[in-house]
Amino acid sequence: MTVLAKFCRIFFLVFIAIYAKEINAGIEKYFHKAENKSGMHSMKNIDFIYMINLDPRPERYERTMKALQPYGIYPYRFSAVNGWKLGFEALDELGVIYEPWMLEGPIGTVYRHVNNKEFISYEVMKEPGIAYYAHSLSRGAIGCLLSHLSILQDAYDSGYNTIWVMEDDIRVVSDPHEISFLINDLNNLAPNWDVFFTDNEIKGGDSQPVPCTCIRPRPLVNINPLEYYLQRTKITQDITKIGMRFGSASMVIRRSGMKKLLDYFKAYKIYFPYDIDYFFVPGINLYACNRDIVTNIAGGDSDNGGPNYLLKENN
Amino acid sequence: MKFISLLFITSISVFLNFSALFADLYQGISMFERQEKMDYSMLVQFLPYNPTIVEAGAFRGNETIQASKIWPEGRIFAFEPNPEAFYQLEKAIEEKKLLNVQLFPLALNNYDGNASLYLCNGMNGLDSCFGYASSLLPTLKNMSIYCVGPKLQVPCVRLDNWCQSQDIQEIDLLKLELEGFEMQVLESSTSVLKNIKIICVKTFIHPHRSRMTDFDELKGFLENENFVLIAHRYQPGITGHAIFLSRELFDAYFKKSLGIYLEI
Repeated sequence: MTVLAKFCRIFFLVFIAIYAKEINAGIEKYFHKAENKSGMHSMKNIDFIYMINLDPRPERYERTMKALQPYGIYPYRFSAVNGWKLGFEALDELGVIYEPWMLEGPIGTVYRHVNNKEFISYEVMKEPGIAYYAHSLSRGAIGCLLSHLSILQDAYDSGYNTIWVMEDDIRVVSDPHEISFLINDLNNLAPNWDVFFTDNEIKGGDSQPVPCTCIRPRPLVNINPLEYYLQRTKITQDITKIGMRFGSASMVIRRSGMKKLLDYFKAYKIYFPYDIDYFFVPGINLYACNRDIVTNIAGGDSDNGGPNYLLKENN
Repeated sequence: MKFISLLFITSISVFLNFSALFADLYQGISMFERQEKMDYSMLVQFLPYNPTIVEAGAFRGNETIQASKIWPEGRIFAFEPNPEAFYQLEKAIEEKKLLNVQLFPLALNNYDGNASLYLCNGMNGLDSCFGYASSLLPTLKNMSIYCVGPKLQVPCVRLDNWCQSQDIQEIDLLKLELEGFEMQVLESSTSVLKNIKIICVKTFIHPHRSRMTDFDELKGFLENENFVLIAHRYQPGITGHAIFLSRELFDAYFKKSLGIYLEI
């Protein structure tokens, strides 16, 4: 290889690296910082416990704290990213930006703004430079995902090995300290685990588990056949290795999982809700508890579909 | 007593049979079967915020107004050849100050020029609220007592030519309520048909006008033109409403977005 060819190759690689960093810069810009952390938000085998809570929802924070207080567990209140207040610029950057080399895609959601007014538009993904989200992805769901990612970034930067991330609509079913023992089991039996869900499945409005049984195509990501994600392997009486599921109400995440999740979303941007995307992360090892220790409140009110906190404020 | 019971049971069974006769039937993709109304609100999920909508047979504008409100940034072109209905339509649009609606006192036809419009003013020929059933097609002799009204000469236009004159390259949504003349309009405008995303049509299962569009024939024609029927709700033997998606939109929504591979 001539010197010139070598130089060109290095120049090309540096250019790609800079370009890749440039196009990925958008997403971190919208992460929230975790302010005023203290040392009281931990438990055995868990370095830090976060609870995601929107500022206008103090009652949810109180409810969750009350549920955990008897066990001496005090999560750190993480001020959630409010998707309903994200600016137009954020929505233009956070989604999957269509580029001419990409195949014509699905119908996605585009947040169009005309004369300072926002319009939700359902368009076939084919306009270069436009940010597309999955069909009907709400601002609330974008904020929720950004909140989770912000926490992962904070935890990763803080050097934590294991964190517990919960949303503010959890239901404590049994003593959460059991989680610490299950982490021991995981470390011994499945040393490559990345994420551990503290419940069996998400619960629907009728309190029944809602299993995830289908996948949807994800732009830019090569996903495996459905059978891959449907796989479930029981590890112990309490723990199962899973391929996919819904819900992100209560997740224990190890440092390896933090990195995989952050790398994935920084590279592929926001498209689906968090819990329709995290199982696509290449090489991620998901585990779930076979019984409910901490799960979601069935049919709990959510601000993902709409800024329902405004109704409360108006009343 | 026995007689009264028998009479009651007979009445109930007659009523049930009668209800069954007029109950809605459904043909199409099951996810839309529970959709109560097959109106514009159902189509939001397929369209951009600023769609181009052509509505032929707008009558007094109930649905034109709905479309204008759902898509305030859209462009809505409404056609109505019946002068009385057009007057009401114009009045309604003006009163509501719907600036994104343009009205045309024209009939869609398979040629440009003038055509006879067979007005339907009900059985007594005086009730203009039945004007929605007017058509460019004459009623069959045995059905003419149900659709009494004068024959008017109205200006008409071919959809392809009209689109060209308005510089419209693509139509996001074409809605046709032409009382049986749908097929003639579509067949004569195959250029624009290639650039239509959604077609909504009123369907007719029982012909009451001569040369009336038969639903199965229409479905076959549109399938040949790369459209897919997604929903058809109808009363057997009477009328219904059908929604067709262009194959491109159908694939983008079901295959590429939802990951559902439907055999149609």
